[in-house]
Amino acid sequence: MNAILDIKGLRACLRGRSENAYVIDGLDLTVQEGEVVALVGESGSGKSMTAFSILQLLPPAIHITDGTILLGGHDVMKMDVRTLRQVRGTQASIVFQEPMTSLNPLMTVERQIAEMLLIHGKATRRTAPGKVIELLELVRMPDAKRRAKQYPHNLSGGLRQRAMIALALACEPRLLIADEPTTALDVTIQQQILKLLLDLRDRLGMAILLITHDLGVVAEMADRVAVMYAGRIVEHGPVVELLEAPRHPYTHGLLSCLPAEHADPDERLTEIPGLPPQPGSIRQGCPFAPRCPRSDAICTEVEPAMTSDGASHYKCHHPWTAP
Amino acid sequence: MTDDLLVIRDLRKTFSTPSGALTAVSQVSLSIKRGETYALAGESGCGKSTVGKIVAALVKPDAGSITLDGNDLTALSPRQLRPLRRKVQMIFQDPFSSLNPRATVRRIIEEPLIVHGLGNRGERRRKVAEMMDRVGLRPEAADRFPHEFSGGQRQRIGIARALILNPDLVVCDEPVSALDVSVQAQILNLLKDLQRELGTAYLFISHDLSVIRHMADRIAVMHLGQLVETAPRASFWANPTHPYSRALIAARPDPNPRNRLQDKPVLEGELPSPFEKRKGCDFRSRCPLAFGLCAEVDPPLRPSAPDHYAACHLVDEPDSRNHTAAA
Ligand SMILES: Nc1ncnc2c1ncn2[C@@H]1O[C@H](COP(=O)(O)OP(=O)(O)OP(=O)(O)O)[C@@H](O)[C@H]1O
Ligand SMILES: Nc1ncnc2c1ncn2[C@@H]1O[C@H](COP(=O)(O)OP(=O)(O)O)[C@@H](O)[C@H]1O
Ligand code: SF4
Ligand code: SF4
Ligand SMILES: [Mg+2]
Ligand SMILES: [Mg+2]
Repeated sequence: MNAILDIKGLRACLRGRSENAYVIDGLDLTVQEGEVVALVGESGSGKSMTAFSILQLLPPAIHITDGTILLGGHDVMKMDVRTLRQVRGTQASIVFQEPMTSLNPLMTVERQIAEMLLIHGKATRRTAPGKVIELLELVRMPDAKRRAKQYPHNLSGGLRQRAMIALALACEPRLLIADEPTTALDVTIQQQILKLLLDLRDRLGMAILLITHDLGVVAEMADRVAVMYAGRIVEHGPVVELLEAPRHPYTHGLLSCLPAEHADPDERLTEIPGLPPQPGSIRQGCPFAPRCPRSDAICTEVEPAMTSDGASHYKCHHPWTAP
Repeated sequence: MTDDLLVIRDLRKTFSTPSGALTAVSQVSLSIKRGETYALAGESGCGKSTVGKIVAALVKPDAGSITLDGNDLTALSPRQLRPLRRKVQMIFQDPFSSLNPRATVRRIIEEPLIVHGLGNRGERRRKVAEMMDRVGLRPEAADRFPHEFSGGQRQRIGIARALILNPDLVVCDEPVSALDVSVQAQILNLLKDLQRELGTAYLFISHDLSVIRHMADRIAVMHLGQLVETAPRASFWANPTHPYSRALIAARPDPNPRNRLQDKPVLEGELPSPFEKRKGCDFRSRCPLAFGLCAEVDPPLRPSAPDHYAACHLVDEPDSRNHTAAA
């Protein structure tokens, strides 16, 4: 297998604050061709910033200080503006939680997708309209011909999400980065969209980096999972191992917070006490130590390195044992 | 004499919008007992928040009655209503936008006391400190502003404000939907602890059935402005009856990695437009069991088990049990 995405030692710093405000801090992540990798973690852990780094779309206040990001074997940080523009869309594209961040409210769905095709030389003025309908049918937009002529605000949330996915797929990217693509949608619509993504993976062979905070979505979709905390990957592994036998106390905590199917409703839910750290606030040791039920003296002194045990990989001095 | 705290009968609310009249709530009847958690489930736009706001007297219904503790609220004058309003408070989904950004936490939490003219300055101060402590906020933080707090802490501020008048009923509108699971667990535990201590009833609005399963004594499922199923906890989870309730339960992402999406049935079809006049069952465009009658006749809520009602033509049909069970 070949890696479509290979990130090594990535660090990104928030400018203008104290020097160590790293929002991404030593992140390693790979996605193989055709693979669905889920990136999970609490709000503010750096998931979206990781996604933006891959396409060099970081906000101006944040800049990359260390590491490499290989997309299809090429380092995106060494690309000039023209190459980057080419890579966005053909190698990788992003869909966001809020479709209106990528859809232009003043253009019909057809026109936006057609422009994308024309810019990348994937269609001519003559062939574009037919290709647009093909794409809308690919994402199962009901009544595609009529919808193509509509503006984004004429569409429901679920249909808008489909239009955005069609736009993202226009240039047949090898990697689709989906940042909370269904968080704003109802469960029944969410299910349709997620199933569509899996279908497209099977038919087009594209890889998906799925960013989500929902472990249910992870369980349904992912081949592999990477758990993010304070700008780092603290555990990663195949979905079954990771969810059934989490080794890192943070992964373990996230799973035990969920209301269990058959638990006694009078039982209290397990909490993870406290809050995730602000960028820059962790100076040494394990970033999870202030909230960790297993932490001891060494945890607050020494940041654990990534350890591998079979298919599981984790950064922890006192991991849960494999069953 | 029953222990019903709040009884709603045939509630209706229509909004006029630029695209035409939109009936957000229609024929909704339910009753909430003292100290219980009554959940309203359903997809976005189905009218859950509108019901909640009507109950909290933030929106006026077009028709129907609301009885609180035996007093028909729709029949009272604003003056007679005032003391009763104290008994119902509300917590909102979005802790980021529901708190006045320019007010201190103290000011936010004590506001209901001021509005209802309760206590002097010192008494209010004491009461605020007590409430903050109760919901897990440090009372020293009373002079800070909402933006200095995290989402979970802001939700605690909202809870403190809702509970300071010691209400009988709190409408919780998606109280944990904007929060991470770790913080969600903290807030759900807090709501349960407070209920146990204070005997407050909750109208708990959520689209998340896993959360509802953990919280609710009774569940009502709403679809396009109408209730399609109501049942006590045990009966609902043992026998979810309406095809829509079943679809919602099946669609819920389940953190078991051996239940993959590829193997699950997916609800296809589009919702009917809420602006158009509709005939028959509103769920039929997406219902895998729809048949001829469904296009003609709107099914009323009918009993399917003790205290358990569902609005589907297949309920009570002698063969329908096998029919639905096979689906
Ligand atoms: N434009 C920005 N300027 C400064 N800091 C930012 C900016 N955007 C994000 N950050 C900070 O970077 C960190 C990582 O944010 P990021 O958006 O990647 O988190 P996330 O994991 O995607 O969270 P969520 O689940 O809420 O989407 C956070 O501390 C956030 O406050
Ligand atoms: N003030 C309003 N004016 C016009 N339409 C409204 C208003 N409030 C709600 N609606 C509409 O009423 C329907 C029900 O809304 P709501 O009760 O907020 O649903 P839910 O809480 O279940 O998501 C929706 O179609 C919504 O757009
Ligand atoms: S290294 Fe220590 S503090 Fe960090 S997760 Fe492991 S046990 Fe907890
Ligand atoms: S009445 Fe018909 S369409 Fe409606 S839920 Fe029942 S079977 Fe389905
Ligand atoms: Mg994000
Ligand atoms: Mg709502």
